[in-house]
Order: sequence, then C-alpha cells, then structure tokens
Amino acid sequence: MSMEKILIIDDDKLVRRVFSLTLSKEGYTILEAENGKAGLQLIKSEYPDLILTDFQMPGMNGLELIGEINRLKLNIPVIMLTGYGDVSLTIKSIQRGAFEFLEKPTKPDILKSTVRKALDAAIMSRTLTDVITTTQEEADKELENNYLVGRAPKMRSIFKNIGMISMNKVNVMIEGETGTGKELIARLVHFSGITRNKPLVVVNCSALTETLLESELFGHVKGAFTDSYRDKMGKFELAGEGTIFLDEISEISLNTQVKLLRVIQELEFERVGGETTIPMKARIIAATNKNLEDLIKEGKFRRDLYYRLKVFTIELPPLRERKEDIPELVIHFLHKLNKKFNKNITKIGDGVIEMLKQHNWPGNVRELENTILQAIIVSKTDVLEKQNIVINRAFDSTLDSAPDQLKLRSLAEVESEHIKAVLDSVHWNKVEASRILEITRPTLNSKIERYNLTQ
Amino acid sequence: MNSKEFSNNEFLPNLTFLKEMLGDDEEGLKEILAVFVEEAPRMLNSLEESAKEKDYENVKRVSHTLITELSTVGINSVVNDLKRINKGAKEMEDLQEVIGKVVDVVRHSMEYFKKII
Repeated sequence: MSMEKILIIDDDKLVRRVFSLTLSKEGYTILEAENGKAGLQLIKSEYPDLILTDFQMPGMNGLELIGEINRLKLNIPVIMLTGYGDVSLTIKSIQRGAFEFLEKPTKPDILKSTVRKALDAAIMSRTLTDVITTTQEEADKELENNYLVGRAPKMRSIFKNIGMISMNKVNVMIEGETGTGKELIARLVHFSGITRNKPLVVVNCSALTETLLESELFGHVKGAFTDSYRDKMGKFELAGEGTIFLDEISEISLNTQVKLLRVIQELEFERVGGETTIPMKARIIAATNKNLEDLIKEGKFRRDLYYRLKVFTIELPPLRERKEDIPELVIHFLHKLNKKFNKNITKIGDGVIEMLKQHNWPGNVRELENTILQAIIVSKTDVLEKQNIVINRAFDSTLDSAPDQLKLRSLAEVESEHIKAVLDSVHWNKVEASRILEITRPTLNSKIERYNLTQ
Repeated sequence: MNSKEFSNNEFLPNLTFLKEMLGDDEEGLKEILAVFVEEAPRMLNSLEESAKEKDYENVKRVSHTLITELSTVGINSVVNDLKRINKGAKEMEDLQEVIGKVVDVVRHSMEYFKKII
C-alpha cells in the first residue's frame, strides 16, 4: 500500500470528503484542511507529497495559496480544484506553477490518473534535484557518481561486482555493444577501489597501426624508429600501479597480442628498441564490442591472451534489455547536459519516458544521450517535451532479426526514414520539422516528394 | 412546483456519480449524503436571503458552491438554473422564482437522502 500523503484543501466539506474517501481507497494517506491558512500549517508540519486545493476559498484563495507554497520551496506539486466559471483563473494557476487543474465534480478515473501523474512527476523532479545537490557538493571529487546510473537487476549485479573487483587488481574484460558505456565502467572500477589515486591510462587499440600501438603501449628508446629522437614512456609505464584500459582489444594484431600476452605473463616488458626490463604493475581492463570467442575460432584472437584478460568479466547489457533504467538515465543526462550547454531543463513532459521506452536503442546509452542532447538544444522551456525528441526508428523493426545488416542500408533509405520520423514526431508541422532537420522548407518539401512520404 | 412533479423520477437525485467515486463504500455514500443534508439548509437560506437583499456577490458565491455540490450528489435538474443565477443574477427578472424552484427541489432531495442515511 502506498504511503504517499495527499493534502486536500477546500472550504466545502462535501467536496473534501468525497475526494478524501475516493483517494484513500487508492491507498493514499489523506490530510484535510478547510482553508488556506490551516492548509499551510499542515504543509509545514506534515510535508505532504501532493496538494489538492480549491480555488475559491474565504481568506486566502487558491492562487494566493500557491504563492505561499512556492515560497516554502518544498517542491510539492499542486492540483488546483476549480468550480463552475473558474476557467480564466485556471490559466493563472498554471502560470503560478500548479501541476494541473481539475474541474469539480471530477470524474474518478481523471482524478486518480491526474493524482498519480503529479506524484510521479514530483518523484522525478526530486530525484533530479538530489542529483544536482549531490554533484554540487562533490564537484571537486573525481569519482564515479556520474556513472552509477542504473537500477535494472543486471546493472545492480554489475555494480556489486565492481565493488568486489575494485579492491583487487585482477584483470577485467568488459563486453558489450557499442554505446553501452564500457569506458565508464572501466573508470568506475579504477576510481572506486585501490587504484583510485593512481593513474588511469586509456588506449583505443583500433585507432593506431600495429607499430604505433606497440610504441604507445610499451614506449620506445631514442633511435628505435626513424623519427624517434628521444626516449618515450609507453602507456604501461605511465599507468604505473594504476589501470590501463585497452578499448577495442579485438582490433590488435596477432603480433601485438603475443607481446601483450608476455607482458601479462611475465609482468615485465621492454621499450621498443630497448634492453632494460621494466616491471608491469598496472591492472589491465580490456573492452570489446565483438564476440572474442568467435574471433578465436576464426584464428584472429589468441585464446591464451583471452583467458589472461578475462580473469573477471563484466557483460554490459544493451539498453533495450534494461529499459527500466531509461527514466534515471534521462535525469542523469539532463543534469549533465544542462550544465554543459547552460540550459535549465528540469522537468520531463507527459509521455516522454513511455516514448523513449518504445524504442530499441541500437546505439544504446550513447544514442539515448545524443537524443536527449538534441531535444535539449531545441527546447525553449524548462520541460523536456515529447515534440522535441526525435528518435530514429529506422532500425527498430529490423533489430532483432538482422542486426548485422543494419549497416548495409543506403543513405537515401536512412534519410527518408529519419525525415518521416521527424515529421511524425511534430505532427507534420513542416516549419518545426525544417528547424529540427536544419534544412529549408522547400528542401524539406522536395525530399517529401522525392521519398513519397505521407502522413 | 408541486408534489405531483416530484413524483416524476426526473427530479429524483441521481447517485451514479457518487457511486462511481466511492465504489461499494456504502458507509462513505451515507456520510457524504449526511454532510449534504447538514450543510444544504444553510446554503439555501443564504441564497434566498442574499437574493432578497440584492447581495448579488453572495448569490454568485453560494450558487457557485451549490453547482458543485448538487452535481456531486446528483441533483442535476436544477444545476442549469444555478448556472444562470451564477452568471447574471442581477439581470434575472425571475430570480426569486428560480431560486424558489431550486430550494424546493433540493429540499425534496434531502428528504430522499434522509431515507438512505
């Protein structure tokens, strides 16, 4: 049973009792006050989760009451109850910050759903505030607080495992699709345990050629190459007793794999062209978005290296398997992106979360972040609105059946589907769609015609 | 309005809305009707007195409350009359007559409610 507390303020006893009896049957704890003054006292002493207040009351009317509630800065949502002929005043109440208004007598299903919506919105809003407060308080600390987002069972299990492995310097393999946050997990492992005050060195193995990668990893001595005019420390040395994160480990050549295996086995290495043996004290965290077992079968990855790296494995689930985390992720990204782009979007509009949950997110958390970013940039209010969110649904239907074929779509196909998605999301408002797509309206019209797009 | 008119079901309160709100809570229903029976005479009195004294502000205020209350307990037959009163009591030539009708219907309904509670 819910213990959420609702305060009903109305000078009409009959209305108060009807609302009270109806909502108490839903499991809410109900408080009643017959005027604004008594209501304010209960707000201060009982701190309700939601306030339903009449508009026309003797002494202090509903609008004045909202003003008083705002001054308390308690972040409690208010639903304004209006009677016959109060329509013009409802606009003012919404402007003052009321969550919603309900005309009396209110149908039970509308009353119940509006109350639930207001309570859910308040929970969201409070969570966001908490995040901001915590972050402000801990702004000086470089810690994992930005990364601990996720309450899905798989994520909770991952966080638990991180707690264990971060206190030991075992090698870790992080497996997960692109955009699932593998580097964030690596940082979390590093910063939350015994290595937190040691260096963290990140190497993207796919970004460098074989020779360059070896030089980057192990360093080189002066004269080792044509352009090596001086000694250079490698990443293993720079990592010292900290962590070296090898992203996209599947991309390293078989030759480099042999050298890496030796480093792990012997716990020592030499700079390229050098003779001095250097001890290796860092923990290795490797990450891959490919199935290394398959690469082993194909002879592209060494099984012995695989097992050396995979002392502990973290499998990051794709976002489509942890959609319950989407609300928290949205709040996290709002907080992060508000700061980055000097915005102040603190509320999440109706239906936004439901819409986001319908998408399969082939690009995972990174795609979600980019989607929120796009919405934040075009937003003109403090609310993350549904119409500002553009989701590329082109991959949704094909994702489960043929994920590998997704990359084989033509540019025209992708463009056509993206334009259609944008148009649908703004109810075919071409001015709005042109703005989002950053093309002129004639260009949009010509593309609609070319791709034969219809509503 | 005479007693013959009240025998018509059209003037009987319709408790559908209250029952939708309260579900199978019989005690809750009785409580609400009891509150109405307790509060209504004071409001009817106030409406009649204010109309006589041409205190149109109070007529407006009381009619506003009565619209909500009568809609809630299902005395729907006079809600439109109350809306007329609320919108422009001052201009109504038949104000006393309409208020008389409202009072009669509400009092009749109260008798009906008393039997339930």
